[in-house]
Parts: sequence; C-alpha cells; structure tokens
Amino acid sequence: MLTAAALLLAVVVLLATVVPDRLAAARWPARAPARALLLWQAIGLAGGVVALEAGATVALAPYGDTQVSALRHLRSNGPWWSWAAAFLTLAVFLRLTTVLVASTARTLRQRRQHRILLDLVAVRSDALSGARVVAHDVPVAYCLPGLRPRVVLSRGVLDRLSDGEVAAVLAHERAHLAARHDLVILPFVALGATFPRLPAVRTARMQVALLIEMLADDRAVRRHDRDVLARALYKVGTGAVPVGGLAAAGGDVLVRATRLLEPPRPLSRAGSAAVIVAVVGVAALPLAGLVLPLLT
Amino acid sequence: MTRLGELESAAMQVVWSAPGPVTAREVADGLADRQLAYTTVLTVLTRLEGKGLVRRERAGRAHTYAPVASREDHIAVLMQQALGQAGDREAALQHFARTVTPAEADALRRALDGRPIDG
Repeated sequence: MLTAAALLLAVVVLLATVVPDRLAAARWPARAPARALLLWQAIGLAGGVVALEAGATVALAPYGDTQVSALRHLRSNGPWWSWAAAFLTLAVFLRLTTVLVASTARTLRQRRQHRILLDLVAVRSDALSGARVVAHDVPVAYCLPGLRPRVVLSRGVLDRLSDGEVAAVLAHERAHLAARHDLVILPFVALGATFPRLPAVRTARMQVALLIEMLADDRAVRRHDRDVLARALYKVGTGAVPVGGLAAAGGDVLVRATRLLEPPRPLSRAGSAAVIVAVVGVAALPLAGLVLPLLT
Repeated sequence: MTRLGELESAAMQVVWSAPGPVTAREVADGLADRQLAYTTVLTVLTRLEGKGLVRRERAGRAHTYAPVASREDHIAVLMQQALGQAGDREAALQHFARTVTPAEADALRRALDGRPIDG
C-alpha cells in the first residue's frame, strides 16, 4: 500500500509540475484549442482526485493490503502518520469543496450586482441585436454570462471600430455566451483560490482563459474576416492606458491577433487522435489509485 | 429584465433627468405613457430606496426623492467593475480584449501593417 501511495504521489507531482509546464509550452494547443481544453480539464480533475487518493492510501496503509480490506479492519490505534494523512486528506477535500462553492457564489453575486447597475445605465440597442451600450469613452467590450446574459459595448468601441469590426466583436462575445465558457473557467478559478501559490494552477488558469478566447475567435471568424477581428483586437486592446496588473492579461491579445493573421494548420487527424488518447489516459489515472494496491 | 426591474430603470431615468428632488406624483407623471397606478410608482421608488439608488426626504406633507449618485457616477462604477484588475472578476465577466502594453501594441501594429483597412 505504501508503495502504491508513493506512486500515486509521484503522479500528483507530475500532474502539478512537468505536465502543465510542457502543455503550456507546447505549440499544438493553438491548432486544436477545444482538444487542449479537454486535456487541461482532465489534468485538473485527475490531479485533484489522485492527490486525495494518495492521502487516503497512506492513511489506510497500516490496516490492510488494499483499500477495501483496510476499511474492513480499521482500528482506532493506528500509527500517528496514518492519522496525519487522514486529517490532511480530509482538510484538502473540505477546502476544495468549500472554496468551489464560495467562489461560485461570489462570481454569481458579482454578476448580479453588475447586471443591476448595467440595466440602470446602459441602453439596449436593437441595431446591435440587443447588445447594451454604455456611455463611456474607453473602448470596452465584454459579456456578462448567466441565465440573463448581456453583451456590453462602450461608446468608445462604437466610436473607434468600423461596423464590420463591431459585428466581429459581437460574434466573439456571443460565442462565449452560447458555449457557456464561464462554466469552463469556473473550476479553474476555484482551484486558483484553493492553491493560490501553486504555479501549475496559475498556469492552468491562464492557459484555459487563452484557449477559451481562441475558441470564441474561431467561432467569430466563421462569419467574419480574420483581419477584421484582429484589427478589432488591436483597437480595443490599445484603447486604454495600460495600468499595472492589466498588462499581464493583455499578453493574450498579441497571441490571438497573430494566430488570426497567420492561422496555424489545424491539428492532423493522427495528432488529434493522440490528444484524445491522452485525455482518456489522464482522466483514467484516478482508477490507478484503486488498482495499484492490488499490483504492488 | 423583469417588468419591475424595467420600471425601476425607467423611474430612475425620470429621477436623474429632473433638475432637483421629485415627488412620487412627478415620477408618475414622467412615466404617464405607461399608465401606472400611483401605488406602483411608490413601490418602485421604495425598492430604489432599498437598493440605495435614491434618497427619500420629507418636504412638507409629501416625500421627495433624489438620486444618491448621478448617472455618470454609476457608469464610472460600472466601468471600474468591468475594467477591474481584481483576478476574481475573471469568472464574472468575459472581456473581448484586455489592454496591451506599449511593446505589444507596436508588435500588433507591425503585424497588421499592410493589411487592407476595411470591414
């Protein structure tokens, strides 16, 4: 059991260090953002579940050779490290779930507050198929996801962008809303709130955010010109004076514009299949936690 | 938007566009085309007060309502939220494009250079 636990911990370390670093550095995700997104989800899920399994395996090790037999022969006078592992595992599990709930609640509250304010001051534009226009000079375009979603443009966007560019921006934002990309990013935001110091979590969150933008871009260029969307990115991205922390998030804009102007070849069929195999493999890692004690 | 939410928004526009504090009767007049019952207008104003959007004051026998903040102030708060640097806002709103650095702006300009300017 302890050998199995050690192997599981090794898997967790890999999923929290080398694997996200390599994936973040790889070039293929720009060629298949939807597939890459699946792989990030699999890594996040497997990393969390296997970490809990590793802790539980250590905690159960003194009582039997497999988790099942150990659970049958649980005694209260186990060694201190078994208790420590059990306590730590439970603590991580509780923290993960409470933070997920709290961060979801906070997001929903922020959206509701924002929507109330928005509906008070923004003007619904029929010409822009229902988008809300806010009288503000700085060009800002975003969407407010949820059950009563809103696409929001500032007057600055309408002043600076051509009609075609505005239409491309709207298509991008509607793609976010239609695909519920907010639900994709939510668990990664929660993971970031649970382990704010883990670089891999930060990496995952930033990569997932970028991939979601690429997906919305790809959706928008089905009906709009790539150059037009790239120019809209430039105009909105340079419309405000950069302030401290904002610049870090702006990096994505350059990556996206370059990708729009010089689109990479879509991933080959074989490459795509390889990614799916990887996704299934990673997602199946939690099963290893149950099988390993039987083998070692 | 719910009907009540939409009424609140409309009532707020009346309060904002008035030169000074207004009575419920004046708000009802401002929304005359909607033919609302006076009590409905009172309800809407009470809700706006509850949300901290208007302030109620006694003026003789009637009450008057004044906006707590101007429409411009609200827009400023809204844009502050939208442009917010706080990381946890990432999940609340999805931006089209964040502000880039001057160096990135240069790189973007070079990449776009020589492409047709229309659309």
